[in-house]
Amino acid sequence: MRNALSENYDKSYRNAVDRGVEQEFERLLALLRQTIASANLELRVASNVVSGQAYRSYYDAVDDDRRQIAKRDFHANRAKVDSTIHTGYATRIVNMALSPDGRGLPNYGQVSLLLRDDSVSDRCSLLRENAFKFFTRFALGDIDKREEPGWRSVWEDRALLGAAALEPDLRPGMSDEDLRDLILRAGGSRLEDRYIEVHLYDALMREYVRAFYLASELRTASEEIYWEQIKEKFAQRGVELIESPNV
Amino acid sequence: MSEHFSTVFVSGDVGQALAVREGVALIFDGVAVSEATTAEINMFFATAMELEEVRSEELRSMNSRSLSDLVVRATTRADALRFLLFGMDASLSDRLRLRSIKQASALLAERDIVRHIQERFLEIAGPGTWDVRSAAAFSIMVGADLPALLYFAASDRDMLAALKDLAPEQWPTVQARPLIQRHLTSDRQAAPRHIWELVAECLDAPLSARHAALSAAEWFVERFGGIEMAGVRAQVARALIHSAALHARTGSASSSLDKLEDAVARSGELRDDGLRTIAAMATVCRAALLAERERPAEAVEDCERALRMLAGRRDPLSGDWAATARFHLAHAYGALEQWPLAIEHYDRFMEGLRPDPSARVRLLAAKAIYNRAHAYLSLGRIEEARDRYNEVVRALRAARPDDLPIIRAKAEYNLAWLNARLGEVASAVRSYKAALASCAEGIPAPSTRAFRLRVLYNLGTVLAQAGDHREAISAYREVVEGIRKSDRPGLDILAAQAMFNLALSLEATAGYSEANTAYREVETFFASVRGAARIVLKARARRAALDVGPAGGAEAGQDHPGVEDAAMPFGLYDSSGDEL
Repeated sequence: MRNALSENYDKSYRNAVDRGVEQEFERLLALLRQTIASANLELRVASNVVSGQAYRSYYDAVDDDRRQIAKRDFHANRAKVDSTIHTGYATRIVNMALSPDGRGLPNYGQVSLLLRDDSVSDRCSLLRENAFKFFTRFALGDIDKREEPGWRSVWEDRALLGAAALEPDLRPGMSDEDLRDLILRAGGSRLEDRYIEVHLYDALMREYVRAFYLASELRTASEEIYWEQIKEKFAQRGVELIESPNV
Repeated sequence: MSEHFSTVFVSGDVGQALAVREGVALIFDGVAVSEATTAEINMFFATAMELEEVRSEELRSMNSRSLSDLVVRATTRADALRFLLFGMDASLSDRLRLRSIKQASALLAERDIVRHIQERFLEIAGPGTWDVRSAAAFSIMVGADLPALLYFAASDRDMLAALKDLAPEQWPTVQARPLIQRHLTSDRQAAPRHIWELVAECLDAPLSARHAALSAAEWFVERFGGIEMAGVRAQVARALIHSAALHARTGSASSSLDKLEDAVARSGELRDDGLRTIAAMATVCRAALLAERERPAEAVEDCERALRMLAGRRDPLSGDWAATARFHLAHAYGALEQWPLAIEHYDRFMEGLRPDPSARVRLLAAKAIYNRAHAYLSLGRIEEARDRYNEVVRALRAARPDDLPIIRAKAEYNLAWLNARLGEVASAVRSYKAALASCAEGIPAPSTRAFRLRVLYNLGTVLAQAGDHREAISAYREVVEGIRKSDRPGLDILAAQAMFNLALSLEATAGYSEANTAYREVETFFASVRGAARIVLKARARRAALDVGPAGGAEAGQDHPGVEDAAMPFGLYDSSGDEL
């Protein structure tokens, strides 16, 4: 698998040289090496996490009998994609995004959590894009279809994966900001979001969080209370509140 | 587009619903609806900790609007539950805990939310892991309705015991005490159901629920009085005011004053601008009590201090308390017999009234115009006083709150008295009759009944003065009968006077035999009544005069008594100088 990734990377580098974007490729690679895992949560969910409740995957919750099984349409779709992408361990995965500078995906929630490298490095893998796009790209719903190898990575190889996946979008003269935008771009809706997906194995715990910020405005008194609770709880744990990089 | 949903999941803790309509997956986020991407579907199921699937029979009648409503309700009840839990979390700041409980209390206004929490809270709260007592105290601090308080109480046996010790009348319903007792003796699993029956009842009786929370103030002061935190100190001061108010109601003014002294001292240390109103409230309450205890000079100082504290504040609560302070300032000047100053402050009180004051301030307004009339009277400005009493009667004629008819009756009484004094007997009769009608509208309290007898008696005197002895006899008889039915010794002198005047009017209408009997009754029954000696002597003299007449009765016109011989009418109401 790693060999395939290296091949994809080598190929993309050669393409970059051929297309005259070698410099942009090098800068993109440097930015990718500094990336961190980020998760955006709705205030209410973040409130649970900061209170000590693990943010766990849908399947975990089902296994623990903590809620009813979501069945029929939703369950069928989801199980199909996840069992294909994460065969054998789909039920243990929590989805996140790779962030170049802390920016997150506000469409998924008002609270952005930035995770400590040491808490995710040995328990996550990456996919070149959203699992569903990946599923569609390689038509994995067809019985005899297999994904093209080399488009996943472990945490330490995230820069190689990102460079290989994003190289076709490089253009001469791109600024660092353009390149960061290439790594993660929050669109007007979730459909328009572009990002490299991080799959965390097992639960997302409050102990993993190194910094957090509010990614969009609070609208109600209840939301203000949730945000105050999150701030106080994280402050007690020494987690840093930072300015929103999205602004 | 068809509104038929084939599948709907609702999650209050996420604040969303996921639905399938005509094969299209939709996310309902509050009232916003959008087509769900696979990622959104993933996120929904990944984050929802509590899912509720809408049953198929309910789906048939469901549309977008009812589904949005369902999401909003589910979110609200989940928020209420979570905020109550925040309130119990000792690791959070007091400020946030207070705010959370206040918000939870606001969200708890709906019965189905309370029911939801009834079903859910014990499972989540669990025993022994939360700072329940402080949370209950905070719920009192923020004036949360009883459900929030009981929420905390239900998970703390000792706290329930503390609540049980409160006097029964401090609980909102007669069922409360047995319910609490049942809780204490029943197993823990069964208890919450009883508690929440009570909560449901309290929701239907918000005034009583507030009263119960108020009653818990003393308990709060006892538990939290020693804590040196600014926020807690402020609320202890507020609790002291509340408990002082309760003591004042039960007639323990001395205890109230002690509590208010403490409240003023504590609230005086407050720096928070938003809490200055509390300090001013305590100061005004103390002023009112000082005035009651005949310390009007100190009351003036307190009122002026409170007015300075409230100067420039524009919120309704501060406005009401500034008006209250102004009223008590005028009242205290009246007690000091500084009538021009009293009139000035009553005028300023009336000018400064907000368009929509609280019920308490509306009552003060009624009292203010009454007291202002009294102030004019005290200055000897009879005509102006009469005009002012007329103003009271006019102003209160349309008003209907419970306490106002009796104030109007008193104004009508005084107006009648002034008219009689100015020789306008017909007007006096009209006003006394109007006072009787107003008494009939008021609360039938013992004090109102006594006042009514006094009105009847004075009506009898002016009727007799006008030569209408038959109607006077009727009025006097009603007084005597009314007093016989009561057992108030304070009315004996009135009974003696009424009986004597009745005899005079009977004599005036040639009812000599009945008059004779009435005079004899005065002699027999009132001989030992303090202050009635003069009337007894007069009755004896009149009976002697009747006895010398032929056939056991005086001739008409022989030694006939004049109206001037009658016992005098009662004077102005509160003519001792006390105002309302």
